Amino acid sequence: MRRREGGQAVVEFALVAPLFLALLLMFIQAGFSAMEKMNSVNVTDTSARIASSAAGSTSSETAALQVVGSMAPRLKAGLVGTSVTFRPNTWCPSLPPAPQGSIYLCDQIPTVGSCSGMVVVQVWGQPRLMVPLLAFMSPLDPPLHLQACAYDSVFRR
Amino acid sequence: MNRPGVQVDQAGQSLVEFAISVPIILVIIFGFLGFMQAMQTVTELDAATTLAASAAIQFPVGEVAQSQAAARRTFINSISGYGITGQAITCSGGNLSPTPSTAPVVCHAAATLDLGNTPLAVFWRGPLGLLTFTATGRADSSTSRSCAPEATNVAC
Repeated sequence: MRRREGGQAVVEFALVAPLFLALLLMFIQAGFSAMEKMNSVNVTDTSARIASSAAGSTSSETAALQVVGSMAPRLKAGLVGTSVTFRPNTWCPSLPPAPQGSIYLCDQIPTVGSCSGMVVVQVWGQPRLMVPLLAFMSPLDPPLHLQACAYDSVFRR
Repeated sequence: MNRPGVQVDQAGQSLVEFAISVPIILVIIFGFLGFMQAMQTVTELDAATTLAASAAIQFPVGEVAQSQAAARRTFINSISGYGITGQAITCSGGNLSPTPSTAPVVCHAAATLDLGNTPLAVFWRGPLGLLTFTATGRADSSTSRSCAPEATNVAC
């Protein structure tokens, strides 16, 4: 009887341990993912602000779009193991072609559309999973699809 | 030593334990993922509201309609997160008040996160997946701003 109970405990442990481990890894991944997304939202917001400030100076629109590139290192610092590609004066490529572990930082001053005449900053892509074992869960983790529009800081007349 | 009754009882107990623990684990997992999505929405809503308030002070004092439109346009186009619906923003103060002034502009925004529109819909459905958030953004006006020609009672 005792031997059977011992065997049962081993079997139960063998069943529960991987589940428990998976749960633990998932929470770790979720924590990293949340941190990365918060950082990306902040970078998008800040990029739009600095670009709008630059657009309000005597420099050209091109300079305003280039200045967003200075935020790429900050974006990369908050995305562990993910490459960041800065694409000035262009829209980010449509999702889902962005491979996992790749993020685009793009800006544009469109002449048509809902943000025409404004500085548009986009952060699109899919950050790399910190726990590769959880790749099967990636469909539950939406890709980053952030956008911020800002007027330039010239007081309009 | 052969006690079949005990074995059956133990098997039943295991089944009950399993039936109780699995839903709890699922609630924890999907609850956490939903919480993460909610946190991202809150961050995005905060950022978009602050950007909208900044947009509202770009126009000359007294140009109320243009400032309101700029704030709304900035907000709507800056909050593009997954599953976010029903965004609304109202700004007041500064050049948006009936008697415009150079006081700060304050914007109050709300957005609903519909988790039913995200991959988490397998768990969060219907009213359970509808979460509404609010945010407040503020932008201080510059003293060097110009005034609209028709603006009156304004310290420009």
